[in-house]
Amino acid sequence: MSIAAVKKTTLKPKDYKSDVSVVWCPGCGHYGILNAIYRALSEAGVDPSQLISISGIGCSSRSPYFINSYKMHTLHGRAGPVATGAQLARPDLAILVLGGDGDGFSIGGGHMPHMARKNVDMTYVLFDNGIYGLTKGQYSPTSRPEMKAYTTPYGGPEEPMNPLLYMLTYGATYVAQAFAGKPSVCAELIKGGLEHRGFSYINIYSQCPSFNKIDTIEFYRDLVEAVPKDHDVTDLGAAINLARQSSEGRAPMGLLYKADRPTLDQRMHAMVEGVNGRPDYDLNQIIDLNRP
Amino acid sequence: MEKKDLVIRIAGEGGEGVISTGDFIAAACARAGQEVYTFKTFPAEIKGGYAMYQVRTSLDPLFNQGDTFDILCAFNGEAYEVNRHRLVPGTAFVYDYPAGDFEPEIPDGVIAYPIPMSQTAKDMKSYRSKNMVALGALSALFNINEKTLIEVLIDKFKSKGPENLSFNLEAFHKGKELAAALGKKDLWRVADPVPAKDVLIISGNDAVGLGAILGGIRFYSAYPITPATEIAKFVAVHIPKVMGTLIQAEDEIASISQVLGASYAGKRAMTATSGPGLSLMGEMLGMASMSETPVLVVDVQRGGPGTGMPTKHEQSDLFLAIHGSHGDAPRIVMAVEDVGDCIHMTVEALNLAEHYQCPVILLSDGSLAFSTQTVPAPKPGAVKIVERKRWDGTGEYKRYQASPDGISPMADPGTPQGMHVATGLEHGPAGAPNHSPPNHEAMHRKRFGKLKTVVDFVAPTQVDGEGQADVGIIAWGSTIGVVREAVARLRADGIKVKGFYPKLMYPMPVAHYEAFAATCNKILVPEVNFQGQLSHFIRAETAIMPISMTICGGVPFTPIQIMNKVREIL
Amino acid sequence: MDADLSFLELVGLDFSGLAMAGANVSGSHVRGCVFAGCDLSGLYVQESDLTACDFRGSVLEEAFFQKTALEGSLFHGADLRWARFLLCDVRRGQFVDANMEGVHFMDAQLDGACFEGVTLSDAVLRGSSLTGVRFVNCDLRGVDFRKTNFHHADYASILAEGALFYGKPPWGGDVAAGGAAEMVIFDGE
Ligand SMILES: Cc1ncc(C[n+]2csc(CCOP(=O)(O)OP(=O)(O)O)c2C)c(N)n1
Repeated sequence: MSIAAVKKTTLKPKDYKSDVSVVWCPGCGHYGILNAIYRALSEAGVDPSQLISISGIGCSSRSPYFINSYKMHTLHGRAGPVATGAQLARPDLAILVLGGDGDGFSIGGGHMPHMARKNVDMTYVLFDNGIYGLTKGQYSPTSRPEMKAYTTPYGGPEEPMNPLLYMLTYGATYVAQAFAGKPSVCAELIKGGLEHRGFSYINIYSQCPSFNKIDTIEFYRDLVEAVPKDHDVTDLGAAINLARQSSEGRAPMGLLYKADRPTLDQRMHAMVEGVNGRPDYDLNQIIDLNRP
Repeated sequence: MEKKDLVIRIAGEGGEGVISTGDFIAAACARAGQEVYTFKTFPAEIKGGYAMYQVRTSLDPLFNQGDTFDILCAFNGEAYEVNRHRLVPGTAFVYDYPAGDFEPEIPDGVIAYPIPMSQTAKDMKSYRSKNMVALGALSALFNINEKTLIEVLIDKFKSKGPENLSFNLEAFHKGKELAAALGKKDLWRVADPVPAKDVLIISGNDAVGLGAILGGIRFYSAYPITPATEIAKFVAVHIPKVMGTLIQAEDEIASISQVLGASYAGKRAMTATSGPGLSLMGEMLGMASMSETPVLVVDVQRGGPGTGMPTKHEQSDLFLAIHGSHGDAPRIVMAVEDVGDCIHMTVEALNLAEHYQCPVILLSDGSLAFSTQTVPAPKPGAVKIVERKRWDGTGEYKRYQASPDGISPMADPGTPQGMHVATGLEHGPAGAPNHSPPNHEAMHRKRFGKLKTVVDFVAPTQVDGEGQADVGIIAWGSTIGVVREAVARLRADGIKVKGFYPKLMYPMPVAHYEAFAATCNKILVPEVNFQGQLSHFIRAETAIMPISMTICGGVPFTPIQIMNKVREIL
Repeated sequence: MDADLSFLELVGLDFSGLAMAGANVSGSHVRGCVFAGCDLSGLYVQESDLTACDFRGSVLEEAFFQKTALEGSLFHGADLRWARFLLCDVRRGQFVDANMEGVHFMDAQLDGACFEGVTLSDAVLRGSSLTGVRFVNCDLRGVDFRKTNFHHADYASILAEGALFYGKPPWGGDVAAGGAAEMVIFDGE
């Protein structure tokens, strides 16, 4: 997100709290992620009036309510395209998308590749709890087959997807991962996403103590492994190799990949310049093209 | 009633120049001061297949494509086969002969003009000038103004090099000579030129695009679908000029979502689609109703349900347009009658969306999409743009604060202290979720209540005729044009008929309907769908008991069909 | 700033007087540690064991604790404004003279805790168990007591205007007018 262009302030993390009190189950990892978002916004110095937080539906998708900014709480799975429209309409603002694994990869799965490949300038924070929290515990695209849940009483019949691999493959230009037990790591990665110009994807594991009984905070603690110090974040192949480890019971934590590519709004702007676009363009010139 | 118009139908293989021939005739007639109303069908196949272009022209205003053609020009055997049953006595028939691919049987009374189109083109060593030979012949036979026609050809071909132009003109003149040699044997002729009017000649889809640009859109997102895709094509060319953005979305759910996002961000935004796309948009349209976000969706209707008949005309999305969302979801639905409406009602629909902060659906249809018509050239300075009500920056801002007219000011993102949520959850005045029954009811009253004044914001209906009538015809969409002509012709025959033409479909201007019905003994509602969708709404919302008349063969009504029905129920 | 003390064994250490604002203490064993006089504002703690820790005189403004054991911990004179304790075990916690405006105890166990002389205005105690809690001399104005067993606590010389509860209050006031303060409730989406 081009927060370079966005008005800067020196607000404290708590200044980004809205007056709606946070309502998640006690024990939920989403608290840690929200905490990290407040910190990242503060550290990046984003003026709340210059930020649009956008979500779909889910426990995690309630987050915008708790953030002091412009915000949209839309439909299940549709935060991405709504954010794309808002970003293209106002490329001078910062766009933050917040949502769950079901929201982003199941019902909204059709949109994910396109935001990534189009390099829409936004920061997408996905709260990955491996479950549908809001509908009280059905398996999601990132659930492990071992998980017994609402609609998987005998365990899951499916393999989980690998969000990092997916995002790297489709061309996201900033890909990172962390878990809710490490809010300061989350905050640093989210801040990096906010400062990156292009589509930033940050996958954050988050425990759901109410419904996902196997992905506990201890499980995530043992699962994640810091990205090696000598990892070259511009090396897509190396990033893909790291991302693939998730399927082998280890998950990288940190920044995997970062690339500089023109964003969709930059390309749109080039088109406008190509035709000498101007707000007071003489519309008669368009009308006259339709004379017999 | 004396027939003053002339209908020329050109038919052949897609790629043989059927469409361009029709376009040349239409433009030449318009330049010679004629009104033009065209209708075309494209081959369903991507390449080749049957294509047809029909030009209706007259010095008087035209409202539809006419009952049938007066002149048929067949480029090949298939074109003859498809249209032979319509070769009635008096029809002029121009066809590729000899050395074409067929030998027709000429019915009694049909005037035949065999023109060796293919052979002449072959002799010139260019199969592609076949249609120019036909054009020359048609011009000579039916008084299609040669001066304006040649001007049109020059404009068209000059960019392709002088050789190309002279080659085409040569073929044109060869065709003329071939026709002259046959001699004129029928009575059909285009009226002599009069001074040209200040008109455009434009298709329904392009007209929607033009209306969108004139209406000030700065964001457009759509997913390709027949028969709406050309709107995006038009907008894509022009929107960067006014510093706007067009994006092709990954599906219609994404396109309406992007439109909603852009609108929240403060831009006039729209999309266009057809029935299948509108079906996919249903949930997000409800979100727009709930969050009070302006969005415009143009639905160019096609035959449904399912994938249905993509290239065929139908008016069967009225139920979907009005009620296609879960919950009580207020919206405004309008329907265009003709290409002129496509321009100015698109502007109007954008204004309505911005003013009432709700989704607006503008219904067009497959027959208007590709129909080119002469329409008065719009004047940008005369286009009225209504902006959304914006927060003045004073006091504490509450996005959904109650107000006397139900319309609450919006705040563009970036405005200091204007931070607020646009939400699909039921909410209180400040946008915080609120599920209490009294709040839900109050908010429904706000969202529906604000639409009460829509009938005064636009011209909701038109009445055609005065006094008492035996039959009143209520028509919507492009059927109106057919009914206008039927009413005029019946009236000329001394039958007491009136027409009633709603442009605002929802909220339904009930008082207007009932006032009209009070002046008629019987009410007839012709529409191109199976269920009689407008009849259904009339029965549901008014005290009128209409006679429903439906066809759904994928083509529009003809005036004769309506006239016969009126005579039957008199 | 932002020290990361997560997933560590830190039993019995003395951190007194350190500036540790924004530190993360998730998943750690921190029994019996001393944080007296520390700056712990914005502290983030989840699923940790902080049994019998000493937070006397520390700043815990906006600190966040969830699923954390704090049994028998001492908070005398601490600044706990807007701190949150979700699903925490704070039985026998000592809060005497702490500043606890807007503090949030959601589904917490507070049995036997002592809040003598504490300002708890606008605090949320929703869903917490309060058996034997001493609220003597407390400012309880606007406190949310809903879904608690608040009849089993001790209320001598308190202020309680605008408190939220169901039915009759144990301090002999009027039956609640019902939903005095507006609360945003999400209802499934
Ligand atoms: C069209 C539609 N289908 C289904 C739902 C019900 N629904 C709401 S949230 C949700 C899943 C949420 O899971 P996730 O996105 O992983 O977020 P979490 O709650 O776990 O944070 C579902 C299925 C809905 N709101 N809309």
